[in-house]
Amino acid sequence: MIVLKSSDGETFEIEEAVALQSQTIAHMVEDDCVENGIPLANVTGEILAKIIEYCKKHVEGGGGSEEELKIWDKEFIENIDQSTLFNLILAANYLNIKTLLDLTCQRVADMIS
Amino acid sequence: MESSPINRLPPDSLHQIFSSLPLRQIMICRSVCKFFNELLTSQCFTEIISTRPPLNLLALRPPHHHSHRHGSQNIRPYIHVYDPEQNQWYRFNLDFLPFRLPQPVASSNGLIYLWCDSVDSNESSKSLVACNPLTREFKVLPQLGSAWSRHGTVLVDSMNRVMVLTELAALYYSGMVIANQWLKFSSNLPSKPRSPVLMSSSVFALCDVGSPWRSQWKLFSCKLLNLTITHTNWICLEKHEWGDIFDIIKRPRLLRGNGDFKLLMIGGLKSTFSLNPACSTILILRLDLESLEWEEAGRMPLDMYRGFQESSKFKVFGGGDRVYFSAKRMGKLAMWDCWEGWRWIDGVPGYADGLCRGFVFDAKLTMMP
Repeated sequence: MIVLKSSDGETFEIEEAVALQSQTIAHMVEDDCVENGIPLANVTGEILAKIIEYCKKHVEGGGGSEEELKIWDKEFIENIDQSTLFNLILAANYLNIKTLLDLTCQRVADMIS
Repeated sequence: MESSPINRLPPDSLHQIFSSLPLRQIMICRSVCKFFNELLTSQCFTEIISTRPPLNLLALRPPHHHSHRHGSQNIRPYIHVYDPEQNQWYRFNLDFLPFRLPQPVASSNGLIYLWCDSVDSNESSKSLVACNPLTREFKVLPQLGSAWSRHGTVLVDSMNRVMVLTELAALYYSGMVIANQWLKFSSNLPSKPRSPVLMSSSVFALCDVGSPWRSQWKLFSCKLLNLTITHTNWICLEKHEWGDIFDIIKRPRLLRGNGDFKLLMIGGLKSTFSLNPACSTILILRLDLESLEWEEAGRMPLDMYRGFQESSKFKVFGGGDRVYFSAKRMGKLAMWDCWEGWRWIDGVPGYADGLCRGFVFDAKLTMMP
């Protein structure tokens, strides 16, 4: 299990497999500096919770078909407000979670067009 | 006005967002605000986008302006452009060009070529300028006498090679051959080249080898590699099987077809073999340059042709997948799309007598050579 600490002091305990979807965290795990939990100064608890929700869904391989995962993604991304969306992009960028970054950026592109 | 959250995103993410938008949208977003404009015109962004497929547009050539007629300087120079996929007319601003009355004449590889007064405003010289209205970059080619701009046809290809053809001579410019110089060749054609087209490294043109009383058109081609030291090397393309193919078309013109090996020949379909026959419609023939065989590509529906029948002259322009037709006092263009057939285009920007000419403009974010 890995402990993540948000900028506003919340802690989240998650399975390693979930956390490893973030390349940033994966590097830290490799470098073995996760003893006392990982502080994420750039991410608030609210956003981190959303990210963990996404990563949990995606680690299981969706638990269903690719189609079902896409539907879940669509629901996920359409039910967040603009400010959360942009904060998710910033966090996904910082945490280097490619699939989430692609999803959020595409959402903004869709909103623009 | 507080800055929108989108401004706080890192450039990489912004590039990712915008690079998934179609080129059309990106162009629109450039005008939204200064932040977007700087982001979307930056070098690293344009590099990401530069490999996109181009927007297939049609640019209109403005009618011959006599410069002493329009003395006012407050006519902002722009080029009218039509997007056949969206059925929309646009205007691209050319105000980034430091020239008074740029005259667009040709395009290739996302670049538009225009005749401009030379920088030293010498009345008797002009320069061809290559520009990209999307990136607002331009490059001035070496100066030429103004006779070339009055009488020459400008041909350009996707490798930025430029030819200016007149009846007696041809000028050739390629950034690569000899640095920054036009090469001049005299022409060995029997008469004035009509409707020249540059494609797949060859120039094609029609030439009248008949008598003053009766035209006899033949097709000639000249490979760019076959320019000798002093003259162009035109050879006549013909095959016995072609028969009378040139005799059935009145006032034929050539245009590029789609792909590198198709040439289109377009003109009125003569209804008789008399000297000045009426035409039953407009025919589009296609020559396969590999097999040297002709086939019919399309013919104008009769109800469309009625508008053209009345005017003795009509203009044909375009090429590739689409051919456009314009006639006097019509106010609209006819268009033939090789996949989708014939339709009318409305909303043509007004020109004095309704007769306009244009050229294909595949807009993309090409860098200057």
